[in-house]
Amino acid sequence: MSALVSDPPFGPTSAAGSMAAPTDRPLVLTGLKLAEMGLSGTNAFTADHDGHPALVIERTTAGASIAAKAENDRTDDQRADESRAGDDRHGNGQAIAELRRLSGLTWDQLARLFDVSRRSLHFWASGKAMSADNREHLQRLLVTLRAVDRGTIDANRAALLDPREDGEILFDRLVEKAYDRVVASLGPGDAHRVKTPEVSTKTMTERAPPPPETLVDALHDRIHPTSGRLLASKPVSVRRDG
Amino acid sequence: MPKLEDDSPEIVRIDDAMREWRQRDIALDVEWFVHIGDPGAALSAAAAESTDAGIQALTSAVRGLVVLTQTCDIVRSCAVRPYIECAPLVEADETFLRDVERGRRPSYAALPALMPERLVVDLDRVMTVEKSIVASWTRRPGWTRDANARRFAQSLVRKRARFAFPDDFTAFAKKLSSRLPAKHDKNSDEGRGLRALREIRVQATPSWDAPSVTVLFWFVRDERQGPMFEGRDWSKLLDSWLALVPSAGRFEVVEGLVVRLEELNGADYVSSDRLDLDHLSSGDELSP
Repeated sequence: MSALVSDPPFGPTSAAGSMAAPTDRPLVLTGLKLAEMGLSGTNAFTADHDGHPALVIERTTAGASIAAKAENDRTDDQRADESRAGDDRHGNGQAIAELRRLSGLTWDQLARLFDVSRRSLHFWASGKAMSADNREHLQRLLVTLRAVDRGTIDANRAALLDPREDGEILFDRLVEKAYDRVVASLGPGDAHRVKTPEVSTKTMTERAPPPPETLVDALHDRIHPTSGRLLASKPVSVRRDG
Repeated sequence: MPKLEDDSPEIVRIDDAMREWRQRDIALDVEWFVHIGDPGAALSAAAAESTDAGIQALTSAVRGLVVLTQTCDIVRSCAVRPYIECAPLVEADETFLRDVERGRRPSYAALPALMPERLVVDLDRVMTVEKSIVASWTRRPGWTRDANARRFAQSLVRKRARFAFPDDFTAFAKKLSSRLPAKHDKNSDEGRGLRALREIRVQATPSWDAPSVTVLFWFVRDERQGPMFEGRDWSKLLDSWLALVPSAGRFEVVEGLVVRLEELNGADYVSSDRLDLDHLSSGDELSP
């Protein structure tokens, strides 16, 4: 079990290198490239909260044509890198969702596991790039929780948050990244989760609500013009007192 | 006349006739619709046409009726469930018909079976009829396949079961919702991103009527949308969307996520409400 936690599926423990692949990072354009694209003072380099540089382009009236030129200038390799980055970010969202589902922890508690704000966690779940360290932590947390899964959210949450006999709270061990300690304390999980059958795309499409695009275009009609021709009129027997 | 006994032959006859009927079934041979109005303060053409004084049962011409009552209530004995709710059919030109089919006109519902006749269901008007009368109507099946049934049910829900967001929230979210119609505005890529979503849900913690509320927006992206939108990752769009709803008034904390449906759990879904974009974004009254 320990080996399971120590050797996550994405590589050896010195994973920082392998996970800090270029695909981790947002596309960064050099100053030369910026000059070629004619970008001016409306642009600025910033760093995301993981310390990665990110290019922020404030939209100007020329923004659309600049974006089009930038798209044309990108090489196939850049596009491939971006696609891989997209896949990783997609995976982060899935992994965070699984972490929530398995642990039953609140967003606040999950954020404490990474020592970040709830907002940062929301942005990771929404596709923002994570640092290599945080991605590793996320994957190790998942491996740990899968290994000790008690089968229900309540049981898993209790296992992590209820004080043990010696007063230890295993949630704190996860914060410290002592994954082995958590697995050793709880032992292997005995969960037999039922894998729900995958619903077809057709079914999901049929069940989808009207998309925002349709809702926002909704026309608030006056009553229908042909709803009026009178055939008969009969008094309703309502006595009006007074 | 006395009310029919529960086990009378007439009750059995009506129940037998109603057993075939389903929600969405059509009665094209019924070309009348009754509503109550006051010609003294006429708000409809039918009321204005009446020359009688006082409250009137106004019968107006329609192209037929559609049954709105749910099938389980239709087929239960008329001794205990005697009523059927019906909505009238009205004519539509080609453009209007297409708009209704696309869901652009929430006051109307489309039924594929009525497309050839260019008729749509007017959801603004509902008439209650006793089953003894409906039992004598000629039934035309409105049901074709499950997807159509679901779409029709969605039309009814959209018309009648919208969650009423507090007024101060509607004002608070106005700037966000006003970005949605700006699809032709090339400076509004966040608007295009919003329009590409599957749905937008909002969760208020601890509750909508609390003096201090944390608002969490769930921007649910379509499965067909990849992790990037027009070359930007969704978190960039999230950033720009949240900038449109800065904390204000009771809404002291505002957060958001872009997720796929499968990343929401059941509790997230149940504890949130679909953003009522129909009414947040457009107040225009249009003639059909």
